Amino acid sequence: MSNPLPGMKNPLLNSALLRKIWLQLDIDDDHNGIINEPFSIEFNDYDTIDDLKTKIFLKLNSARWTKVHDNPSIAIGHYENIQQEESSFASSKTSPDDKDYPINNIIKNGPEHEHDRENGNEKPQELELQIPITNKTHIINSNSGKSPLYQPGPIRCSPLLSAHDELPTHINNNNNDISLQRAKSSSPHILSSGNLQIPRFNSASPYTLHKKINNKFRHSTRRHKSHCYPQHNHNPYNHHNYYQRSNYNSLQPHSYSYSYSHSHIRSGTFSHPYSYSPTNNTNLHQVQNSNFRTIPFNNNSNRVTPTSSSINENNDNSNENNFTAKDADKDIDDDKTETRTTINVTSSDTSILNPCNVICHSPLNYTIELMDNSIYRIIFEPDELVTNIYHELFQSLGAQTSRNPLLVFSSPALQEQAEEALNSSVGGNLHDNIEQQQIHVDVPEEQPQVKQQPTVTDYELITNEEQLRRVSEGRTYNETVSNNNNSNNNDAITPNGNDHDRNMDMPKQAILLLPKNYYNEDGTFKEEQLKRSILNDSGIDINISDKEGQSELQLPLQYKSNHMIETESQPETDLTNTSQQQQQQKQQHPLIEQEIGLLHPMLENEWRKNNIPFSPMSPSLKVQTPNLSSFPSISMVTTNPTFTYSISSISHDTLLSGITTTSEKVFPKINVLIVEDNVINQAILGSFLRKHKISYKVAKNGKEAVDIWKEGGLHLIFMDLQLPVLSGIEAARQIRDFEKEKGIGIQENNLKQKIIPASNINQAPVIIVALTASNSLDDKRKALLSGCNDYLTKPVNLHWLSKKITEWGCMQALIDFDSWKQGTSVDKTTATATTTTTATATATQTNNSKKLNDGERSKSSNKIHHRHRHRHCHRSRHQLSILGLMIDRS
Amino acid sequence: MMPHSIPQDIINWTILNEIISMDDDDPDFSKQLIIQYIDQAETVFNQIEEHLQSTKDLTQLDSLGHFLKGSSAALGLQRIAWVCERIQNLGRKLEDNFPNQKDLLKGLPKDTIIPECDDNQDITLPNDDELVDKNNDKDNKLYILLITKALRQARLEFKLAINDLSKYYKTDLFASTTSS
Repeated sequence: MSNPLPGMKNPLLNSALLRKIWLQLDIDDDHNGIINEPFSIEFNDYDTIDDLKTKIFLKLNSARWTKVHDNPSIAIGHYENIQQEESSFASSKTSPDDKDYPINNIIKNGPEHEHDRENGNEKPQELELQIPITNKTHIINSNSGKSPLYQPGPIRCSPLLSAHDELPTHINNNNNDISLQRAKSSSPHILSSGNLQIPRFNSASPYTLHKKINNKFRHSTRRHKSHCYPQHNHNPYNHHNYYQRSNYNSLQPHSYSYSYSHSHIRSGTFSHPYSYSPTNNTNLHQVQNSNFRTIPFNNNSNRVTPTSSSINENNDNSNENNFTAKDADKDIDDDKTETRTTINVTSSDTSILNPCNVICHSPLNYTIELMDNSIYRIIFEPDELVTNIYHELFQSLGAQTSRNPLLVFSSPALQEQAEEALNSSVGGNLHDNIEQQQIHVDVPEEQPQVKQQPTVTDYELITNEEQLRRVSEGRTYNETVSNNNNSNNNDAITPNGNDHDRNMDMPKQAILLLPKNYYNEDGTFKEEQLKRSILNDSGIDINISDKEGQSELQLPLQYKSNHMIETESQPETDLTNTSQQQQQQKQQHPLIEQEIGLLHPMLENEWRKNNIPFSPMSPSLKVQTPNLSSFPSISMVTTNPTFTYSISSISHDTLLSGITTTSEKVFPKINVLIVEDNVINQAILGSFLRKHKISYKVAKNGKEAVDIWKEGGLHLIFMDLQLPVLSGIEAARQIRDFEKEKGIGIQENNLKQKIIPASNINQAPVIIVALTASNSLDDKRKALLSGCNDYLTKPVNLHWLSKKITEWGCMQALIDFDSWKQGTSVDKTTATATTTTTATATATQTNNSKKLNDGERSKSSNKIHHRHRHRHCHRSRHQLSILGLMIDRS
Repeated sequence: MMPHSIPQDIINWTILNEIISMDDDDPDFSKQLIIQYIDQAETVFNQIEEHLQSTKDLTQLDSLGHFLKGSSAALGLQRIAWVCERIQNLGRKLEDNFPNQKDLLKGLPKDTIIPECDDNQDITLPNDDELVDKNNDKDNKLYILLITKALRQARLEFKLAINDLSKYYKTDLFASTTSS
């Protein structure tokens, strides 16, 4: 495969930017009763459309939409309005997207243009946008294989709409060559049309299948719109079009064989899978022959690539555009008689092969489907890289806004089926696919407990085991959400059931009872509200369950929010499974009263402040007192009052500002390098890091920084920009250059292993946060250009510093998870200390008297010796799970 | 000509309190830091003085100003930081003015005790005639003069700040630096 990142000149720099693409569901609002707004999905360089689809499902996890669709039943693309006049673009308000897609320019002068001219009476655009979708929502059970469309011979003249009606033709004869089944054969069209077990190629390109048959055969799939505009056959003018296409197809067959960098044939779209009948195969041979026959006549037009013939024909900007329509006409006149036969065969062939128009444009692979006279639906192939598409459509990263999202098309047949299932209430008898969709059937018989409607209260206070049992059994709308996916927006959402399996070794669950409207509209966490409700109610139990310090907290959230009730009240099979598993798990581990309750960092913090040394003042705390010794972070409180005080002093501020103490308390285990020439600033930053148990090194100029970085193991560098010897900007640049040299940050493992001893250097590129003295944009721009990922303005606000550490540290920890987990990247002294695992957090202070060699400017710098402390609490999965939480919120 | 005027408060306690809060972890941390700062500042002042008299190297003066600005700002000693920024900018010839001491002290609280300075008199700038062509100022006379003026202000601000800090720590910080 060729370079997957054609548009990325500097991936390192760009890695700091957010890559996201806006999408919108292409559905009717009324039909689904849900608000359909554009949403953004982040993607990386190597994501294909298929990956994007997966992310869509993750993103819309709770939406009903995801239950009605599966990966192969959706496609991503956009509508293209192809008009003769430029002005019509500007005035087309129904499809505002059009203006923003450069592809317009590529296609607008395509062959369809000619048709429009002839046709004369176009439909208003408003209609065009709506009609096509509904037209195609038919389930075709074409077992008989008698559809007139695949009869060989000249094409029927059929009105446009009727052609649409018959589009999804399936000829599932047993004689079918299975290898010819299209990649999207898992689409319900085919599933419902026969009993054949059809292989499912979600992301496989149809291209590969075609290749098996015959290279030249594929070219025949490029005959355009013969099914849509069969009348063209009777119009000499349109013969030219066909002629052109068939000619070009045969001209350079090899050009199709190259993947990605050249144009491909993509026949078929997601909603129109089809298969071939033996009768068609004879046609294929004819096509082959005709292709061979036409070759001699077309030597003179070798310069034309297939792409230009189909799309860029009249596009002045096209590189390959030596070919003009006039040329084509000339050629046609010369060869008219020869081509006639070809046309007849190939066009009929097309009607069978592909009910849709297929246009291919380099370098993107997509299918174009004619929706109506001038509206085309462009659908990107599943294996197309999102980056490529983005660059093709919007050029620079971030150019896309929510106003021009790509559309997520869904197979309308699915919805139709669901509707039918609903109406006929024969859900159980339908095919699996359909069964899956019947979630808006109100009460299926096999899930009686769903009938129970949730009682809406602000929150529930659970005081004993019995109550919890009752609640958890009685309510199927309980969502079990683990710590790292308690936000709706989280990318890392795993199916709930799996989550349980993964956490089976975790003995107990902490239960967080959240108030009504726990989620606001965009699914974000309502911190304030939660805080208020917690603080207002001192009767809420606080409890922490933990054994041997393995305290990955799992918070099954019982939340009710108005707009989510719809989803929750619907029977969902996987949800039910989850709750069953949940119950099983609970039976395995009987719940103890004291372990049911609520743990919130805010509350926990309040607690610390008020109880030094720990003296349970409020009645709600009494119960827990005996248990405290088993919980690491709390025993930290009791064993080290000094430390406690410091935490509480900080967290007091953060409490006021509405930020959880979680992020203050727990930082990812990372190695930080401070590059500062000023002793004072070194001391401040160093002290801050020590306080948060982050191991760090200090460099006093850019050169030292580069040298220390070369030793490896660094995750994060705070780099002052104005430094003696070597400036911070220059140092950052050098580090990036070295990284590039050594292949750090390049995902190909082979390359990396060859060059670098993996033990020494981190796998992920180091994060450089510039410390700019001035607030000037110029400095910041320079810093970012030199390869810094972020910047902080000096004097460094310690709150911001901690945020940056959390943010970037977590990112590094996630990127470089393995070494982070193993602690290989930890400073040697710290690493040895961590091996002595203590359940309680002992604040061991080892006075390493690690002096910082900064003294040139200061005689007394040695007086402030930087005691290197290793205060380590048990960094267990507890922290790991919180990582996700923190990223979520930051 | 001034980008912004000098801050009214000698100490930005929001910033300094962040550092003081680290004393919980490391007793006397902030105090040690201040003492270290006093030492650093005096060193830098002396270096600036030296450069003003001997080398007259504006680049050096710029970086010294920048250096002290960094630590002053980090400790919340914002008035010193402001003056240091002026020195830095004068060294870069980004500014060609420095306000008079009287104007700079105007904003201070009334109960502020202005310490005795070696020379409370404002430095008189050369006449406009002498400053006709800034670009022709080969010896950077104007900037050297302005930095001298700024340095004097910086020392004054420094004393003001340390007085305040001494009050806070209830020790004579000047004494503790000299004793050590």
